[in-house]
Amino acid sequence: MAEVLLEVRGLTRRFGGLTAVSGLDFDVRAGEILGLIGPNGAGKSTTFNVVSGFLKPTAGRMVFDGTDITGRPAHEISRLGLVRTFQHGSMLREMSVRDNLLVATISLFRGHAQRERRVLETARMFALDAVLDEPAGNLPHGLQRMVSIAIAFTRRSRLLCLDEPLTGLNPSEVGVALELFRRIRDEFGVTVLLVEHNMKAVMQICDRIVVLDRGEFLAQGTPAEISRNDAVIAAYLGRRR
Amino acid sequence: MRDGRVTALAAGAALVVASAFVRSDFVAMLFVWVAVNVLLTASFRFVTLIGELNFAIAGFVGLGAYAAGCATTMLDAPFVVSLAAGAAAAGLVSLAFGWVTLRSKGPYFLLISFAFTEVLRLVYTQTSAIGGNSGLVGIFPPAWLTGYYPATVLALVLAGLWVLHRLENSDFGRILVAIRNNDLIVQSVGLDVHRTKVLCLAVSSAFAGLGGALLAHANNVISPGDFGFLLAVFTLAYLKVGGEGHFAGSIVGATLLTLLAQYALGFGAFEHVFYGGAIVLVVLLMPEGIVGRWAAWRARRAGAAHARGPEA
Repeated sequence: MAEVLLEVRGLTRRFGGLTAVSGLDFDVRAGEILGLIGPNGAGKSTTFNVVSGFLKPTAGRMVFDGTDITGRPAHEISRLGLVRTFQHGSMLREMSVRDNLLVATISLFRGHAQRERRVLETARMFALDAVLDEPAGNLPHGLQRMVSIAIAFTRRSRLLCLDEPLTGLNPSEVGVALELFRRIRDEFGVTVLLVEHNMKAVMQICDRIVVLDRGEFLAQGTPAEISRNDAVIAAYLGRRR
Repeated sequence: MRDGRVTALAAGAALVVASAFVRSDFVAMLFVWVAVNVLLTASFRFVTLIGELNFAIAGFVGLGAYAAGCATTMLDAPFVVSLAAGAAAAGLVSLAFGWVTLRSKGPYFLLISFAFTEVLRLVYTQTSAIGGNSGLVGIFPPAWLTGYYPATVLALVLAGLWVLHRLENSDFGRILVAIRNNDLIVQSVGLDVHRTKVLCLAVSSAFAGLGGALLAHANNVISPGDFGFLLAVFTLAYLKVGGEGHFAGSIVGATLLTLLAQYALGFGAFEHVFYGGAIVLVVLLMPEGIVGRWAAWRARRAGAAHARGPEA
């Protein structure tokens, strides 16, 4: 079995009286594309925010690449090699696509030549080289999505966490994006953690899937196993009550 | 861009030299007021790069003025030392202020920064050691600067503008604008947003403090009322009129309004209506400010020339 890149143990996060995530255990293995799914309110986003350091866990432990990252601030976790994207295709709207990517390289390289090379490489891969000098906010929706993922990928981190990257994309754009995610893993050895509502896409691309329901671990397995899992089907169709 | 900077530098140097030949005291003071207001507006604008309106700037101008005033009148400190004390006092206090308050943003930060300014003003009025309500008197520039004080102020302001411009166009400046756009993304690419915001405020406040120190030595008298929130409102008016999207906006806005305001002085109590009116008119008629409007016009002309073909 492959080495574990991210180990999450007993992860709990409460908001006042509400427990969004409770005692969650899961592993992300190096080199896989892992899907994190669950019905609305299952705690996917909270898990994502805690793992990436944007929320502090109430309890639990997270070890990334041999380093305990529990409670570390987001920018430090990012420097260690765990980089995330945000929902709704967030980018730096007023800034050019070039500057969007350049900002991501500032804490990686001192040299301008290295930064420039990395920016161009990433832009080419995401088919953004024709719009490098456009303000990102002026681009069509599909390209804005690409910018938001490209920002994170510019860092060539060990783990790339994608938060609902396919929302609002048309079927052909989804195909392009999935192909990109595969290349990110195959060509660059970047492990991918994917939170996504598009089940077809998740089943297509993920090696393994972890399912959450009401803040708790429900199941894990290959897409084939998950699609046959009674508990998962019940959770999605709401028959469990 | 390069040409623009050379022109700006030449114009600045010419002003410095010209100010040394001014014989009228009133015109000499105008030079100082315009220069200081330009520096304050540029400092205020520096914090808008992270998307915040910093009304604490008036408080930091006051800290700079009082620190320099105390250094000069009570400790007989050399002029240079008292200027440095003004900048340092404002810069250091802003580090602590920013560390605590810059977790908030938008209207929350604006209100806190406004309160900070007003609290400082009240503290001055209640502190008899620094003159209480009537203020501190006898803050004079050194004798060896007689006749050259406006030139000194201009030169220092130009140096300050140069530093702020350099910073804005560096990695640091790019990160500031990125924070204004989306601070979460900036964190996600390994940059410490909070520390960067605090540093941004500290740089701005140090220059505001220097401005306060220069102002104190120009007016010879400072009192708590000079550093209330109205000073911040004026600075905002200068910036809005000049145009916040461009570095030159602070220079154009502060210069124009400071000169026009000499005329508005005759309005008595209506003087402040003048500033309010200026903000309202500009926001309604040209939200991008004078420099923004000019830049847009130039871009359009360049676009038209481009469309006409290479002979244009």
